[in-house]
Amino acid sequence: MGTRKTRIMIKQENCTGCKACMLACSAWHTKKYSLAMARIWVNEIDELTVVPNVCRHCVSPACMKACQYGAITKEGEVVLINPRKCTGCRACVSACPFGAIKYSEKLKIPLKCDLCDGDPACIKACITGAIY
Amino acid sequence: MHGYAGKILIVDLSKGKVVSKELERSRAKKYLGGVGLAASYLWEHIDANTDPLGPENMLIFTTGPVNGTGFPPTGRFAVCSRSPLTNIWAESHAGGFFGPMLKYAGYDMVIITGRASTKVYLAIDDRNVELRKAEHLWGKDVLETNERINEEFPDAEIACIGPAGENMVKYASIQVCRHRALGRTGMGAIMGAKGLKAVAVRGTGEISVAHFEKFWEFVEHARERYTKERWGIAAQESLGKYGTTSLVEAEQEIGRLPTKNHSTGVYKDYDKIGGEAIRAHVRKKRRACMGCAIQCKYVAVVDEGKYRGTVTEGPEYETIVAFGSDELNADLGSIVHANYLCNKLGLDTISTGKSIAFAMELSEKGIISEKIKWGDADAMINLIHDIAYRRGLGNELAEGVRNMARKLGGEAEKLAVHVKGLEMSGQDGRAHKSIGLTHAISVRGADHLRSISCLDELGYVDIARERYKEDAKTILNLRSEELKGILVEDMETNYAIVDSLIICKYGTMWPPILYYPDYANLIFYITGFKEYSDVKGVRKLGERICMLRRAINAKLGVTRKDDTLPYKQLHEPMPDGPAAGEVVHLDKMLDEFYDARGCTRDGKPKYSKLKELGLKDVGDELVRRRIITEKS
Repeated sequence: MGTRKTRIMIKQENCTGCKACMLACSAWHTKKYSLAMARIWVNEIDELTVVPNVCRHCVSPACMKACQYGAITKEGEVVLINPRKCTGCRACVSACPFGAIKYSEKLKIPLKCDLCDGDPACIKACITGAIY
Repeated sequence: MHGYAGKILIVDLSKGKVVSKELERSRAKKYLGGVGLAASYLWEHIDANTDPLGPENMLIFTTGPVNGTGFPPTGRFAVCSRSPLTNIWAESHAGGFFGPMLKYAGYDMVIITGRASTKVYLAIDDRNVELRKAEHLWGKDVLETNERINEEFPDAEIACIGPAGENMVKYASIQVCRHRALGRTGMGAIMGAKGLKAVAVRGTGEISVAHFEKFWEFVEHARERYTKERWGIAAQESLGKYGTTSLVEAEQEIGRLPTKNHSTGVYKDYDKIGGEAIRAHVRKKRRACMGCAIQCKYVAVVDEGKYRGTVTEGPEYETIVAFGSDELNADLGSIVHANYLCNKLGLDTISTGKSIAFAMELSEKGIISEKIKWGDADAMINLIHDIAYRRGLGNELAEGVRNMARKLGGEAEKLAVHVKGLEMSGQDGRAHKSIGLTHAISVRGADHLRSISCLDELGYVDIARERYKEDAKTILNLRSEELKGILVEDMETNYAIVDSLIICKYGTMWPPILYYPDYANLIFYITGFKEYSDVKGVRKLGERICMLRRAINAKLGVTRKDDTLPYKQLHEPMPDGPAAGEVVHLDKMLDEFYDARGCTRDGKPKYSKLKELGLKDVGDELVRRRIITEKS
């Protein structure tokens, strides 16, 4: 497989809005298919503009600073959420300047990209190279 | 139940009541989903006395086990009913995101009957389902309706009608994701008659599959087959790059590009409206349905001329034929704009374009007094408005070419290009004999998508050899009627499964990548149904669905005399191009097809075959109605 990914890159103009990334993300994490359980999102602005959005794994993550319970940590270059320490306060959701964390009412956890242990499912599902 | 949301919604608009019911496992197992499942309900509910536009008609939104999973294409759904255009079995399909969203909300189907006393739309927000007032939406076009509903109901996927549906134009569409159309057979007119402006859905649930690891692997492999291996590369180079528009050039080459109201199969200006012209002038962005790995959709923007500023998804091949070659119109901007208008007003582009081409020929021959010249793009654009709002000649055309021809009588009936009342899609049996048979026998009228063979059309020699062995050479002969009954029976069975799963024709028809062994794996991994884990099992399922649809049509009075073709294709030799001199000799192909399908030579399902397929109750009912005998 080669090197482990430490960040997902987006080439917005290549995105066709198919949401294959969202389905692959949901299935990799939960073994079920659902748009509401994805940790990557595709937003349609208009016919010609579709924008994927996902965690940037910031150098200095605002979400980590906002979390008072130590549930968000940096492991190397990867920002991770520990659901066991999470209280569901959603400070991270408010703090992220990119809107790349969403709280799942169903799963009672914040949904955020964890890079699938370094081999992101969304990248493999994207046939246009919009996510790489 | 793996692969299913598990519930169906029963909506009675007359009573304003919505009830949620469990999906019966035995029924799902017998008919799989999609059109199969819908046919099982329609068989029980409709007969010759059902008025297609009356409250008693049943309108079914249906999905299959694939929809909402990660299989590339996962975004399709269908609407089935009794058609107001043809008065027979109706099914209409679209891609996009609506189907999966319905399943995430928890429902595999929505079954709608009755008629609302005041205009409504159905809002499905997970398990909160209600009929909401739609008086403020009535009269609004599709784009505006989408905007308004999304203000009240953010993130909902919307299936709605435009003014054409409200005015019960017989071929009004239901539009999803704004630019995707459930175009054929007039499903939008039924919504209009029922006072139902839209179905809007938002779902946060999930779909599970029976054998996740195997399914995951199958999906990964399917993506490779759709993008990399031999046929995957072919799919990306054609559908991925051009959508279906490059068919214009391909059909010109074999003399099968319907031109001048299906008079001939070649168009001198084909290159002005073909795939290359589209790519050079209007194609601006590739789009896709949910989860798809082929991604044939594109957005067109008109940059110059009268229609500058028009933005729409498409036009695809069928629309280019309907507003281009078939009307001798080489003005690409006007074709894109016609597509945009049909999407906005809620009209089927095929029936709309073909009705206008019919009017042009009637005008030329002096059968109607209106002057509408071939290639007059302005007249064409005006007529689209007139059809949607039922003004003047548009009001006549809104009834479809069969009804209009019957009213005019005589010569007009020879010029009306339809089968069973459905305006013909963009093929011509004179140049491609198997499509002639397909048009004639299709359960919804002159339609290619129930059983078209691309093997002979586009020359898939290796695949034909794999499937039909020593018969391949004869099967691949475009102009020969030999063995086409066998070929079309196989295609119809194949696509009945495709339309019940529901997956796309791209990847199954063109290029023909998936076949029975793949469906067997797909169904088994998703649902766990052991009956369908081998080729024999899935083939039987496909035959069962085909036969049930034919049984519905038999109940509605369809016989061999309806399985026919327009006058031009049977009696007027192709005037020019590579297929010059050809007509379609239908009878021999029909006999062969009926024998292969298990029908009598009169085109009705045989009792013995119904019994073999587990449809004894259907056979008994047809016997009781004296449509068939137990000895058949």
